[in-house]
Amino acid sequence: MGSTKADIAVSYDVSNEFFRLWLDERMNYTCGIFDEGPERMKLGVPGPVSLEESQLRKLRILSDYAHVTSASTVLDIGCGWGADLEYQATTNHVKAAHGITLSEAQCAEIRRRALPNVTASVCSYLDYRPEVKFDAIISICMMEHIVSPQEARDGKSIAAYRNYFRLAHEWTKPGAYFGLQTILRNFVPRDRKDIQDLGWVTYEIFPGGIVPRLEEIIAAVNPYFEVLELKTRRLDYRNTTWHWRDRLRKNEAHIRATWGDKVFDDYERYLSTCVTGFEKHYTSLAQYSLKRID
Amino acid sequence: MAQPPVNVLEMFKQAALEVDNRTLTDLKADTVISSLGMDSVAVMELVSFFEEKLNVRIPDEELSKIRTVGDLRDTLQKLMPDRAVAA
Repeated sequence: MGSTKADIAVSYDVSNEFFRLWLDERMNYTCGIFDEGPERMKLGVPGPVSLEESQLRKLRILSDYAHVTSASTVLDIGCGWGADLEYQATTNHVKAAHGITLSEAQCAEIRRRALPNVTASVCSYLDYRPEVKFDAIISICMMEHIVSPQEARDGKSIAAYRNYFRLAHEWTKPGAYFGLQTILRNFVPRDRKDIQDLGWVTYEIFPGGIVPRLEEIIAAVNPYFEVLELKTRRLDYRNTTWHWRDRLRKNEAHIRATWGDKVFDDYERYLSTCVTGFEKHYTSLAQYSLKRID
Repeated sequence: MAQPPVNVLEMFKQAALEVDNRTLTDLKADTVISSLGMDSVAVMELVSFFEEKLNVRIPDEELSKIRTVGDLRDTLQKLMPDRAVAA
């Protein structure tokens, strides 16, 4: 069943103020898109595109992938603190947008934002039963919570992902599009420190979940959605996590004083592991435009 | 010259000692690796030990299929068809 509500609280409920210190101003906790060309995307200090701009680019791309217009009703599965919902409400001016999350803290933040035509609920995608069907779905790095490491080892990943796509199919109108973003497991590290760090992030920072493999997603979308577009963005996520770590470090004293040494040390290790993981191809990121098969 | 046969049971014991400080005595081909009390990170380190010593690379999609010591032996044998691998 992947991450439970208690697992999600470990990952996202440290404190909204804590995450606000090192994420962008809208609190996107997923990969931004820098798209600065091969020269600028070399490893090292990222180029001039800000984290804020990268996150807007990401939301624009996924909105385009989901064919969102002002007439659309949009569902955001795993909506985080509401960055995409805010974008749909204030930039796309959609007819309605609803977000589901398992995190009480995230849902409280969305309600605090009081966005026009936006609603949100604390609900597992497994239990969600919408009263109306949607024109479009956006889901940004939520699939990482669907399958537990043990379920992945037991070969249950594709069936669980297929069930997710089956539900998304049920919740949408004929002709609907789906803008999807997922982290990817590329290959398993062999370096001992990297194995231990990635294992630690999997079990301590994001308990209950594991990142999917690209071939699992491709197998699981059928027979519910057609993959129209697919683009991988490994170095964009490397740069995103680089920025997050940079901001975390700039707030080190405040974080240690407010939330304790362990929180700072854990998140510094976690974000460093992410930067390394994307640099060394252990992990990547993919964005997909999916069309409902009617 | 033919390479010496690989004794997976002995190598497994050596790996468990090195990566997890664990002494295994009653190890057989049908021993389920997860029953040894090693976490998945330690198991991955153990696999890495075999790869390094034998200069092979087990494909990621094969890793999840390895449940017993015998499965590991079979996987290694497929990767080294010209070398005897026993457990």
